[in-house]
Amino acid sequence: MNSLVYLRRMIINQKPARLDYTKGSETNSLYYERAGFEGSYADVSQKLRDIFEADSVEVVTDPDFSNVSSQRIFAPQAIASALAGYSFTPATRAELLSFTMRLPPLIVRLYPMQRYSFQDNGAYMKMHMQFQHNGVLRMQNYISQAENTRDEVVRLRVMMATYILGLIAPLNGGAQGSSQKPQETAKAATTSSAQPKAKKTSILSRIINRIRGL
Amino acid sequence: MTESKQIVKLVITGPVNAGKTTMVQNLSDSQVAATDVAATDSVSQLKAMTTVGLDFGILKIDDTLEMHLFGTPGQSRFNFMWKILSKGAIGAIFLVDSTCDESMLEMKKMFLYFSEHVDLPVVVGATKQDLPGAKTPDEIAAFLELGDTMVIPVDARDKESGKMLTLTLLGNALVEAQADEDYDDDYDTEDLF
Repeated sequence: MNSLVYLRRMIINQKPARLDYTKGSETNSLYYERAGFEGSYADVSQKLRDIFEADSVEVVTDPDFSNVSSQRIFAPQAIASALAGYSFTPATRAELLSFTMRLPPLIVRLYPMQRYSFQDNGAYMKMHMQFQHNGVLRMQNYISQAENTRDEVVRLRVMMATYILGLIAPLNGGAQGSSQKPQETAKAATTSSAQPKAKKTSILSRIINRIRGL
Repeated sequence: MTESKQIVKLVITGPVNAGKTTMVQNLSDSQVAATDVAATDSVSQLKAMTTVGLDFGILKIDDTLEMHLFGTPGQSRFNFMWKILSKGAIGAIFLVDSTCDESMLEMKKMFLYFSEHVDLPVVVGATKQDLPGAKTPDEIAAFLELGDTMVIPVDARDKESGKMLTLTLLGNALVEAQADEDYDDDYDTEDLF
């Protein structure tokens, strides 16, 4: 799920950037500046949804903003809007689950997402309570505790929002994405660099990636 | 020294004439070994050829992993094969003809046996949804008493549709698998944070 990684980096770095993405045969761009995404609500929401499902993503820092509008949607608001009612194709779901399996033990930060009409704020609060209770959040547990398909979708949306906005971070150090050095061009890293152990989750993730590419 | 190859299985099963052989063919990157013969019993009213052994295809995942696809015969009398098929399997896909009551009844028998004897992640693909008289996925789930098992419309002839069904199964299998595994704090998260 490279798109999540690069959206997170854009937001955490807090520097002007352009995210170029390709979904199917269409290539498009989303600009980020002054803590917000450029465009109208509808436009930004749709672009973010496309980015979630993009085939390839590339981030360009220090882009030219001369031809873009001055309208900005604050990042938490934009992410909340893009995720409102968002459901996944089986391919995206499988990819999100694979992504979740790679997340280490986490800390969860509390942020007033309800101010930005985050539809799944209740689930986010419960996730935070789980973290407070245990001192750590295992996202894998959080997702697998879903009671039904709808609940799983909600939990995956919470994972996406909190990850992208930097509200979750690794429990053991090196957690701060802000320490990321700005790069001229960040090419998408391959997800095949996951754990070398031939555990069942690793095997399933490899199969998922292969079948997506059929 | 060459590294040994790991093999996992995916079983595609369900009653006669639901599209199992087609789906194995669509998901395999090798020539599929099919065991179709001319149907002689009541199956001949449904289609000219039917599977008597196993359809078999291979999908190479990477240099060290292969997925072997098995399409089973579509009669419940072959249920005994599950003991062998389920060993090393990552999951099972049931395909059922949404338009055929006989197919549903056969499926009910097969699924009952599966539920009692096999412990694998499973999804049900409802084929022929485009034909008149097709039962909806919800009706199929209720009729077959599938409980939490997901029923998803699928066109077995369409590769993309078969991929989506398989990815749904794999997603479910992934969630189940992580719940069974011990925690491993040796995470490679350099590219995530």
